[in-house]
Amino acid sequence: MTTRMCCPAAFLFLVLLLLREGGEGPRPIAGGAAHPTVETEFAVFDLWVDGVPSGLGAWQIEVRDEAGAAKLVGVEGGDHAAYPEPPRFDPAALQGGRVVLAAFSTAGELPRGEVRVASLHYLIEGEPDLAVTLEAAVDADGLDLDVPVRLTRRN
Amino acid sequence: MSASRSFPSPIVAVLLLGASLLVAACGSGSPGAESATADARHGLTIGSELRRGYLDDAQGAYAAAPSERADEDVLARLSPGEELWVIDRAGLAAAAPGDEIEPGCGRCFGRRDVGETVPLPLEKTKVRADVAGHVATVDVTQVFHNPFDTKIEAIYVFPLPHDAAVSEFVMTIGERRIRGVVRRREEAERIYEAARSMGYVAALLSQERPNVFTQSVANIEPGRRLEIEMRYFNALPWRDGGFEFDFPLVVGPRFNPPGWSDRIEAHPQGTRATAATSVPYLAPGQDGGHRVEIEVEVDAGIPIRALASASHAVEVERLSDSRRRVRLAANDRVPDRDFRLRWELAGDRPEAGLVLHESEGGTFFSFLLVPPRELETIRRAPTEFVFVLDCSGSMKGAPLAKAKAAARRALRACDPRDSFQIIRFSSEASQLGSRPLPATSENLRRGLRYLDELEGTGGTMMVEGIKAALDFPRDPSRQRVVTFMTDGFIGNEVEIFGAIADRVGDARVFSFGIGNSVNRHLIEGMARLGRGAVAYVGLDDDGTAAVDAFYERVRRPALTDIRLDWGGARVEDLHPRTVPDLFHGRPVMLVGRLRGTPPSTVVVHGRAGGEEVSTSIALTPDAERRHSGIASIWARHRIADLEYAAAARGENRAAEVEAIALEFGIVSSRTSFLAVDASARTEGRMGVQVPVGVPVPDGVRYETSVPR
Repeated sequence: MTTRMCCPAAFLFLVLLLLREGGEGPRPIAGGAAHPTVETEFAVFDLWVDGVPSGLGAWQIEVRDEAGAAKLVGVEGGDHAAYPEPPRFDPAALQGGRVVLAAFSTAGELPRGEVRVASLHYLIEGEPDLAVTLEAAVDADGLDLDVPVRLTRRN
Repeated sequence: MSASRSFPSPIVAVLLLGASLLVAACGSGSPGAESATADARHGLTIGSELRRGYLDDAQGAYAAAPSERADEDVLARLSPGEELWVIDRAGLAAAAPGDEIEPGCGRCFGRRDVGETVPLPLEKTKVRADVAGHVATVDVTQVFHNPFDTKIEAIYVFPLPHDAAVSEFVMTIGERRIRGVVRRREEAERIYEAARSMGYVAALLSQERPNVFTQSVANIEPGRRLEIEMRYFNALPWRDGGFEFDFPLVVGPRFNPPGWSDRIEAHPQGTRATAATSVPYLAPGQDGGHRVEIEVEVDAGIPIRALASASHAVEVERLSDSRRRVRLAANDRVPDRDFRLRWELAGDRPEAGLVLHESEGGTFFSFLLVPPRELETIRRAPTEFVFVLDCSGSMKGAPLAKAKAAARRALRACDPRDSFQIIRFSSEASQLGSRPLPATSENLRRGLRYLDELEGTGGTMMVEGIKAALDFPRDPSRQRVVTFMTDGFIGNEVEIFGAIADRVGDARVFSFGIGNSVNRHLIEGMARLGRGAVAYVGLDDDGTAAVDAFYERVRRPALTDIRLDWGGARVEDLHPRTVPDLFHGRPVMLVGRLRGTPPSTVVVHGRAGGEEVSTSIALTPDAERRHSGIASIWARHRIADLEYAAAARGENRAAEVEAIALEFGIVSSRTSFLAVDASARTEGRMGVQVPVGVPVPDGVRYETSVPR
């Protein structure tokens, strides 16, 4: 199952750098030359699995940016106690522009219904075209779950 | 170094006896090798063997001391079961002027008074290691906080083992945990800079050397705490009868030759850095408050005979015959020297077996290739020993005294058929004579006098020492064995590797890391390119054991031209690409990829002392283990092969290094870990950059090693 979304237009920004003099101890950060010069923003996208009928025992989801404008800079866990850790992802797939995330849980109480399984932190440079695909999901008994997945922008 | 020390048992006598300060204590302290490190350091439970051992050492180390009889008197007054504590002044009587160690500067485990407190943003480093057989999984957590009233960026240059495959990176802010991503180094730096300048909390882990990393953490708000967790895997070495787990805790002050661009700079805390990678050092008496917690759980798979730390006070919990849990003692948590743990197993050698990990890319494995027993019986040819001592400023004092003691012992062990040369280097190199001398009694005495006169001062122009050791004409009747004794505190490792590769020919380089926090990347690389082996001598170690083990290695021929027959199994991508020569007591770790069924035997073919040697090693299914870190370890070894080849032949292998590191998601010279919390910007101005000051390593003198 695949869904798509386009993020809102990126915004321009201006950062004023204030330098202070001083040769000892903590010193002002010098970073002017490294300031981004293209439309750049950071954003969080929440990854949801919807309508889980029985407990979500394991899942694998692929998120792809067809436009190549979104770069993954962090992965955060979901909001259910059964999945406390940020999910792992395949580093090799990341080099192809794909984020392939997976997690499993052996907790007694597994999430049902609408479940936020992860949050993806991105650097956005341009107009991303994010698509999300459920590659696999099973319940506590290992039975396949055919459930919708979606990605929502948080900020 | 502070004069305040703690002792584990009541002191009943303190005697200053010429060369050594002896502390005799009632025998309630030493609870045995597995529950304290006393035996591994200087607390000796008196018995006839140990008493004789001490006196032998005294003859070597205190030859010029007039008070040997007094030492014997002290020993005679002790009874079996009582302890003798020697506060470390080994070799002092023979030390050169300027190498003195102040009275009272003994080494004990509860150390370093809290002096002037320097507010720094690194509170704690927590290390949790799980060792399964010869593979370690190590979780390192750095706890940062902001003690200032403005936002900060913390910069911390820190060490990890040179073969650590760092494959996980998680930033924790309060309850929120954000897993980091490996990206090309330049790209990661660019994203980090953007996040920092826009006010997002971000962390960046970059590799400066295989064993030196920089952690940058941006936008830590006043009063906030933040944790960075890293996980790495590495394969542990077996050295002379035991496995060793080493965790470095401080980067020593590096010397960079004039004109060298890729510097690691040492400078006093509070002064401005001039290099991209710089380590600020706390002055004597300053304390940044950074402490370490270490816990290691060892599952050896077979019964553990003995386990001890030669570097720190530890508490050992016995979980079963083959399992131990080790914790760093509460009074020994200043990160000023490497943590070293060693265990010996039932039997005299590790088991032969494969550790496997199956993945889409095939089955990765690691294999500990143990030297065949046939090496025990073949005698070596006469040897031309070249002893090269680092006499730079960072070696001044205890490190040089230890190196000299090791060299003395090595000289005394020369065979009359051998010849020897002694070379010293600091800002320049000089040597005992114009050519190697036959190892006659008179010449050996001359060599000992030369050693006595060596002093530690100046820079570390190691390449001059290499030229002096390898460039003079070969003696065709003798095997040249070059031993480098150094702390390795240089920033131009690549130049040194290239110089050795260019010159080594049929000589062999054996590197001795001298000190409590040596540059193991250099020491290991020198031995690898010099087709020799390493040894480490801590300032609290009995250096004689390392020298004796060295002679055990070189008095037998190495097994060379090694070929491995894996039977019908398809083994690919074996690393090191060329199987290193095998020395007595030094198994070699190999990693590779396997297609199909694991082999049941491997036949090792090679040459030793002019003879063909073949031996078959059974790989029983019981000896097969699984470990998820093997693929990362394989990738790290593959990268090491590429980088050694690049250093030796001047090739550019950066693209291959980058591709492997990205595929396996590990940090390298070309890739960095990055984590950004994109959920919210922090308030206020960009703040200030705060480098984390560190102590100079234990035993290293600040005034001779940190440029003003």
